[in-house]
Parts: sequence; C-alpha cells; structure tokens
Amino acid sequence: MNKPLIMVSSVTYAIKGRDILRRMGYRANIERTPGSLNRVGCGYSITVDDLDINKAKNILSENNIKIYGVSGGEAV
Amino acid sequence: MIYLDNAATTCTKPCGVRRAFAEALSKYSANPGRSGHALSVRAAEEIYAARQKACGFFGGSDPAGVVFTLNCTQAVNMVLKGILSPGDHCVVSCLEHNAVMRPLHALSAAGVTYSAARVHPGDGAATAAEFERLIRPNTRLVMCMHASNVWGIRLPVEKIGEVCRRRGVLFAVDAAQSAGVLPIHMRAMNIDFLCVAPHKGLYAPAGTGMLISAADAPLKTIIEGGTGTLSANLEQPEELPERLESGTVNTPGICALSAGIDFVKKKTVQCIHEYEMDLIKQLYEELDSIKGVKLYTEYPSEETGTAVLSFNAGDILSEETADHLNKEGFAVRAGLHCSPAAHGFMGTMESGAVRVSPSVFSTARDMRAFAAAVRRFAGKSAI
Repeated sequence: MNKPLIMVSSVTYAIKGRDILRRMGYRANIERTPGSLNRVGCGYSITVDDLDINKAKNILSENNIKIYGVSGGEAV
Repeated sequence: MIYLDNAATTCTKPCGVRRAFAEALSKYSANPGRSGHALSVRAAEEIYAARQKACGFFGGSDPAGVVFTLNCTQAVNMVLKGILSPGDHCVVSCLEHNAVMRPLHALSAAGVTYSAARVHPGDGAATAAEFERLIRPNTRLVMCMHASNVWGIRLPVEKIGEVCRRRGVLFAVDAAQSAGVLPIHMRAMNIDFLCVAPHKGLYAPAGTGMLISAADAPLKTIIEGGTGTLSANLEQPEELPERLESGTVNTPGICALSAGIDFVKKKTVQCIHEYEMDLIKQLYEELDSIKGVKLYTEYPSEETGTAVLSFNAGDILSEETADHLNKEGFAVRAGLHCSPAAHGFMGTMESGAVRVSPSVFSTARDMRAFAAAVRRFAGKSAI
C-alpha cells in the first residue's frame, strides 16, 4: 500500500515540515507530488512512516504549514 | 592596491566563501526545487539550509520568511512598495540612502507621504523621540538605516523598534551597512522587515541580497512569475518565500552567502566590530593631525558608530582627492555615495566626501599607509 502523502505548496514547506517531524523523532521524507494527485501544479509532499496522518497534519498546521490535501483524501 | 571601499562591497572574500561558490557550481547547479528530481531537491536542501542559517543569525521567526533577492535595494523596494498604498504615511531618517529615498519619491506620486526624522548622533533617546513625534494616524511603516553608509552614524534601532511596537506601526530596517558588523536580533529589536546586503559585511558575492520578514502583513508583489508552486493558478502564491522569489534563485551566491555567515559567526560580530573600530580610530587620529583635513564626525565610538570615516582635503573636491589616492594605490569612494540626504545633513552636498571603509581583512599598516598618502597630498596641494 502506498504511503499517504501530505501535500504542501513548495519544496520550502516540504523541507520545513519534514525537519519539524524529524526533530520530533518521526521518520519523515519529502517527494514530488505525483501529477495524478496534484491539481494545483508543481507541489511537494511529506511522507511519515510512523505517525498517524491526522497527528502529522496537526503538527504541521501548528507550525504554519498550509496543507493542500492528503493522498486518499481530497486534493485541493 | 589597498582596498578601503568595503562599505560599497567587500572585495576580499574568505576562502570558505569562494569554496562554497565553486562547490555549488559543480554540485548544486540544478534548479532548486523546480523539477522534483534528485539534483533539484539536493539544490533545494542547500537553499533551505541557507534560509535556516540566516533566520537564526538575525533572530528571525521562520526560515520561510527569508527571501533571497538580487541585492539590498531590491529588498527595500519590496518592503516599501509591498506595504505602502495611496494615503499611507512613512517615517524615515534624515540620513537615508537613495535605495529608500527614490522608491519613496516614486510612491509619493501615487499619494504616499513621508517624513524624515532628524538624527542626533550619539543620542539614541533623542533620535527615537524624533521618530515618534512624526508618527501620524495614517503612518503604516517606519523604515530606517541601521548605520549611515557615509558617516558611520548608528541609528538606535532597538529604541525605534520599541516605539513602533507601542504605536502599532510596522518597522523595517535597512541593514546594508550593519549586517555582520553589528548585533541584529529581529524579534528582540521588534523588526518586522530586515533588508540585508550580504556582499558587504557577510562577505558574500555581489548579486546576493535578503529580505527577512517576521511580519504577518502580506506584501504586495513588485514582480510576479514562476515560483515552482501552485502553477495552475495565475494568482501569485501568497506564501513566503515563493511569493517574492519569482524566477530561478542564485544558488551559487546563496551557498556562498551561507558560508559568509559561518565566517562571521566564527569570528563573531563583536570581534569584527571592535577590530574595525580600532582601525578607524587609528585613521581618525592620523587624519586629524593633518593640517587642512576636514573631519565631519566626532571621534569614533563602538557604541554609536561603525567603521566608516569620510573626510575632505581642504576645499579640494572629493573626486579629485580620491583620484589622486587611486593613483597612489588606494581604493576609496568619493562623491555623494548615493546618499544626498546624508550629505545635506553634514553640509557636504557641493564637495561630496572621501569615504574610507576597512574590513576585517584591513590592517593597521593599511591605515598608516593611507594617512601618509593623504599627508603627502595635503602637503603637495598646500591645503
């Protein structure tokens, strides 16, 4: 099963979000948002291996990272 | 050639800066973040690391608030034109560079007004009071230089920041002459926008600049285009830094800028400032002993000045003096230094002045040699 992707606007916010999650001890990574999910164009996503996706979303939102969608959820 | 024009740009760059520039050209030349492939992401990681470093160094609130620009002037334009709208008022100092004054003049045609606060050299409380006195109900922004590029006079940005916070006005600082030589902490100093010329006190290459934003206030854009984000939408993205970084950024310059911050951090801002001030004090004493040399400022002080000293040889035009010194092997800058306001303040609009600005690579021997050259010129010219 594919990992859920948390879609953000740019590589800047993807790296920022990944670093925040990593500092908290989670295994986070970044990747280019696949074209099939990306209706706004040119986005990046964050993946987290060992954290509930909703908790990850909350952490990112609390750090002013706007989430544009989650794979399996509604892409914005 | 002895280079004493570091207020224009530092000429000697540290080994680490040159190495980082060359390494970026060979390792990080893909377009950062645009393409999604491994080389693009690797370049983007370097750019983000530079944002983090700059944010930490200047006490910013978020690495995403660090915007890379062409130079400090572009950063200043982004703030002034991004914040001010017709009907708004802005307060500046009476010493501002044309980087501030020309955009303000252009904005005045569109209904923006501005006032210039008198600076009282050495009296921070009096200067801050002048700024506060000029704040009106429609004042949206206070913008001032941290240090004069002509006279080395420091403005009390901590005190002005307090005034702005208390009065609910945005505060922007032009740190072209201070970044790397004076302590700057945006949050502690209540600075909403910091404009930086990294090619000066951070020893980065020319073609680098930074706008660091700590404000929630969104800036209107002065340029729009591709950002590698939200590309299906023709509206410019709202999130920083991409909102203000249309087009490809200067990756080698930014990597070198990051190395420049490392260089300054290792030496420490305080040691650099003290070292340069010792040089400028030595020069002041030597020039002050030459008959006919005009010095316009008080004896330099670490607390109220930076290492910039301007003078004239009698009534000889500054350009003529600098031309003679150039032939003797000294690089200094004469004229108005893009700062007619600062020359108007000191009464040197007609003559201009000869500006001497050492760097951390200058030496006491350079100062002695320069003073000796001025002494010879003064004797020959019978000033």
